[in-house]
Amino acid sequence: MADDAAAPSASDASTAPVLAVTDLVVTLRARGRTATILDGVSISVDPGETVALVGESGAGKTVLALAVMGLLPGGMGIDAGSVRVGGDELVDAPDEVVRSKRGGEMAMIFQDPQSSLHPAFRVGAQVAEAIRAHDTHASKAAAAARAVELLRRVGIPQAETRARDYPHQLSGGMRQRVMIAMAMANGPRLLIADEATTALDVTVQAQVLDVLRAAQAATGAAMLVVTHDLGVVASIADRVVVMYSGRIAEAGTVDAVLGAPAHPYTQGLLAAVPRLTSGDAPVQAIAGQPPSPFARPSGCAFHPRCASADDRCSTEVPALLARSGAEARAVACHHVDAPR
Amino acid sequence: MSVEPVSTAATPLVAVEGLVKHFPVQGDAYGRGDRDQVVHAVDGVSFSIAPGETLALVGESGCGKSTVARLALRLLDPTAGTIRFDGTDISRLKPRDLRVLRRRAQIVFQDPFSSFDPRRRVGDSVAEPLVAQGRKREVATRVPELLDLVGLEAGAATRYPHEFSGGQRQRLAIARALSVQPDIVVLDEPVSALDVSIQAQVLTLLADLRARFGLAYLFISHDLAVVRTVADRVAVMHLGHIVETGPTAAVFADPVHPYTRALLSAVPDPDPRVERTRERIVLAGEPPSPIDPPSGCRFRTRCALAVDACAAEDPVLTDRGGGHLVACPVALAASPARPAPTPPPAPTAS
Repeated sequence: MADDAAAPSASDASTAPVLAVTDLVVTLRARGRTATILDGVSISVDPGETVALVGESGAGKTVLALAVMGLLPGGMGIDAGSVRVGGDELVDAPDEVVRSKRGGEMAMIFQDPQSSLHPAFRVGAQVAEAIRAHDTHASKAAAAARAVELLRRVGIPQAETRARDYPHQLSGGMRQRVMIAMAMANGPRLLIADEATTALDVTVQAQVLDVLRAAQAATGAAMLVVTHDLGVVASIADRVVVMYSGRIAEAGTVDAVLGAPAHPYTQGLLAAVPRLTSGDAPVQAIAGQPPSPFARPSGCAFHPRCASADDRCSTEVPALLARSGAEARAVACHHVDAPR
Repeated sequence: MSVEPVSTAATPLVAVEGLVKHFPVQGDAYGRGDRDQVVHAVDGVSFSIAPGETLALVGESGCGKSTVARLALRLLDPTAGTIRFDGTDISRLKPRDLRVLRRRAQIVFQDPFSSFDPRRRVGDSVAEPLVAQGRKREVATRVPELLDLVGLEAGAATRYPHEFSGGQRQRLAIARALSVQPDIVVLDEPVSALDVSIQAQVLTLLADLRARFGLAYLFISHDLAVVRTVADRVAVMHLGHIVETGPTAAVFADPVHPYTRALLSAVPDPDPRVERTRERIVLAGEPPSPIDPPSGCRFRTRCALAVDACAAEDPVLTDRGGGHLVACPVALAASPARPAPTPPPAPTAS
């Protein structure tokens, strides 16, 4: 019995991934046309781990986050694959199962706190409501007290007073802290942050990233960070998944992928980012633009923009293959030797 | 690689002196609220731009950088101060006398989605400044040239804005700005709405056009890394003031003002090795209100270096050598000027 390593046991529960997405396919049907938004995407996030999902507009990173949360917009649906949160399958699960996870075991922070908070309710009351939505035994007074404590923990000064403020009375950074407090209200095991610092000034972004880091450290939650900012990735993530046109181009540790990118798209992306520290090298543009999911190029979707593309790239979709090396990574490119 | 110090140029293209813009506070939807209050959007800003030079105004939201851009083009009227364009004081000119300025200075806005009329063919929009200048006859030849210049096909002229991506629309906005062969283009967050690979394309295009036509740019941005790649000189704004300005290389390699230092230290770097060892200065608290800014130095409430004198005196921009000016006597005293790599320009006798 003890030799049977393949069999899952109860002791694995603490190290099993909190989020496991496998071969997820999401399609959009609009005006009689069909587009594959996510084309077989697999990711996993372990307890206490931060995984960043990066890519340009239309890569599908937000759709992936929404699919996990069971919040896909109308017209989009999951066609195949699996989404497991805390071991429970959410694809085709009854609504009440997904709802009980959402805001409890899994929580999400959006880019725009202004439109995610109700303008007519005090922020403390909104955090308290999030608590009572999942802890039906909590009294109103107890929930209100816990809300103030949560607001204090995300670094809101004079939390008792600010809890009585309406969202418009708070700055963008403070509103995003309220969103984090609300997301952390029920001790989620999975926290998804979708461009949570994109709308913030850079000094405020630094503060909010610190709050996110601290919230995760305090709870040991798994965190999935959706961003287009490679600096934010390097600042907060352990692993990174680079998406291009609905597929994963490259995935691995931050050191491997950002330190020594292997996929031509990752390389191009990094060369295009202006930096404070890169000597006098000018930014290098990637020619062309990301494709529409309605007109995804055949083969490797990046091939029309890729300098090393050949005939095979335009006909054969490259598989995402693990590469051996100093750092663990997987790359979907015909021109990256496997294994190195 | 060093760019000639631009202050040696005879007449600056744009020279702004003591610029002030206060906006009245509107009160709430019912007209309540203190109507005597003003937002101190811009409070005594001075700078100049030489022909062919790129000056970047950088700062966080609400620092007044976009207001300065609009004042420089007289799209807003200043509360006080003077704006000279090629030696002529334009700060009090009547709208109809601004026609020459409108030809010589153009603007490109951040949002490529709202700066084009959705019901007009983009060729007509690109030609609009030409038509406004009474040069309708040139339209047929210039529009294809302009589209080619910004890397679009001539056939694009007959299409509508929704048929273009964000990056292509920003190219169209640049083509429109260049239609009247301006001397300077004000670029207000021109790449902020674009994906990083597209952003690099537009930055490359702007650099090419500048080299080709000797254009001057006033580049407004919140993105310090972008500014570093495009600007000859940079001015860091904080709550309506310029707190530090100088050659880009000097300001980025050796920032002196505590706000500039905090701002630079807040930018995360994509290289994980750099990111791990980066010095970080995290500012405490919230930025003060521009309606009721702190007395003296407006940064002092969040500044680690603040002393009593900071509340009493408005710090003035002081040259620490090589045209690198800093408005912080405390930081300047602690940070003596390094020997300048090139001798500072001789003051021109006027």
